[in-house]
Amino acid sequence: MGALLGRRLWAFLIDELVLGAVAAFPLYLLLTPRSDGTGALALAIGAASQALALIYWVSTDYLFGQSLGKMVVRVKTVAASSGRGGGKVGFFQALLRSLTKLVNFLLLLDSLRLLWGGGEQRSTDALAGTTVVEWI
Amino acid sequence: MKKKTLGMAVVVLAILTLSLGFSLALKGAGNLPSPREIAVVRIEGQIGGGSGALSQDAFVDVQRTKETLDSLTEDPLVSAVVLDIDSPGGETAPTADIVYSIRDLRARKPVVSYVSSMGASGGYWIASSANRTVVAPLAVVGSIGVFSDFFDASALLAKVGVNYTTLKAGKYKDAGSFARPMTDEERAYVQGIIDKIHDEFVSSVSHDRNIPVETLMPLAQGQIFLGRDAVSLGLADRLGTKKDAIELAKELSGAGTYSVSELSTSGGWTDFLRQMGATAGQALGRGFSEAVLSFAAREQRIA
Repeated sequence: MGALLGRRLWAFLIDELVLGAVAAFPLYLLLTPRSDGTGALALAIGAASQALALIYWVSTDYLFGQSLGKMVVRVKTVAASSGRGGGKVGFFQALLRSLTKLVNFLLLLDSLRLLWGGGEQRSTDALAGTTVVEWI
Repeated sequence: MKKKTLGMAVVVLAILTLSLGFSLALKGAGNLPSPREIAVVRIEGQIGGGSGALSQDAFVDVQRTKETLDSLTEDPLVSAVVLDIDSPGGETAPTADIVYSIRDLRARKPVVSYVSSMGASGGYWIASSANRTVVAPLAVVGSIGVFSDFFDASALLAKVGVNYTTLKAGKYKDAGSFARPMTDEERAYVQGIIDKIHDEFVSSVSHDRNIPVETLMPLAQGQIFLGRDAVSLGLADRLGTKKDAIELAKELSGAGTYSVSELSTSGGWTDFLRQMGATAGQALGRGFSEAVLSFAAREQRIA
């Protein structure tokens, strides 16, 4: 359990670093000088950054069963019914399990289940019928 | 595996392209107003003495105020700043700290202070450091003076049978102790410090308001003045509203068209909640961009 949880954490950190660099950085770099952190433009920056993050999480889970971080640490999201058989994750499954990643506080709550559930499923994994397994 | 790696690279590049495309579209389209050409900074409450989230409504967050003023100094899109002051004053060192930041700001762009209700003591010190000061007719302004309270509880201690002993090294180390009356020598020592702070306050107002010290000194005996009297005495430039102060800032900056943005200098829970609502990736992206922009601004200044 500990090993899988640790790998998932590393994968998440790598993915957030990638998203910070390719999704949020250009937006904040080019648009921050025109925003005071409130108002329509700030809202647009935040919304665009979140939308790109959602596209990343959903598309990588749906297309490959792995985000870049998961690929590096060798874990994979699969349909829970297939277990280590590696059943492909559906689009709506990928969407559902990605939603809480957009709000730190919700992700924290969502991840509490990992602490006593074997490190394989967040609450939204259980809801979406997906699980994360080690994948050599 | 190779195919998957290639696919992943395509996804990451697509995200980057979308991010750049969106940024350039918003930047180039010009359909959003630049919201910070006239920045209004609210300075409200007692200056210094408070810290932490729970005291943010009652005290001016000195550190945050300074950071806001410093960032406005560097911001190329801000053409002028209005200080919206409602403060009875507070501690002297933090007040002077804010005044120094305003002087740096004023060297780069016009600063107008506006006092709606109270700009007394340290609140007035801050207001006077702007290029122009606008006050409401019934605002309380002035109180140029310094005080420090000491109390002598030696009689009370004796009455209840308490013996209080202080061991010290240094003649003035316990000057102002509540357990004994102040000696004449200590009184002169503390009064000397208070006089020096008063001199600094007066000379700062004299310099920034362009009033000779000898003219200012009779007005700097701790009196408060109503806004209309403050204008006639030269402690403020004109009567008006916040809108008038913003208009004056616009005139001084020469900005043809402008928009106004109100900046809060409070910290604490609001920041915490905002952080909890953002993702780590956003925070990283914002952090990277702030580092790059700050570096670019420094390079521009050196050049």
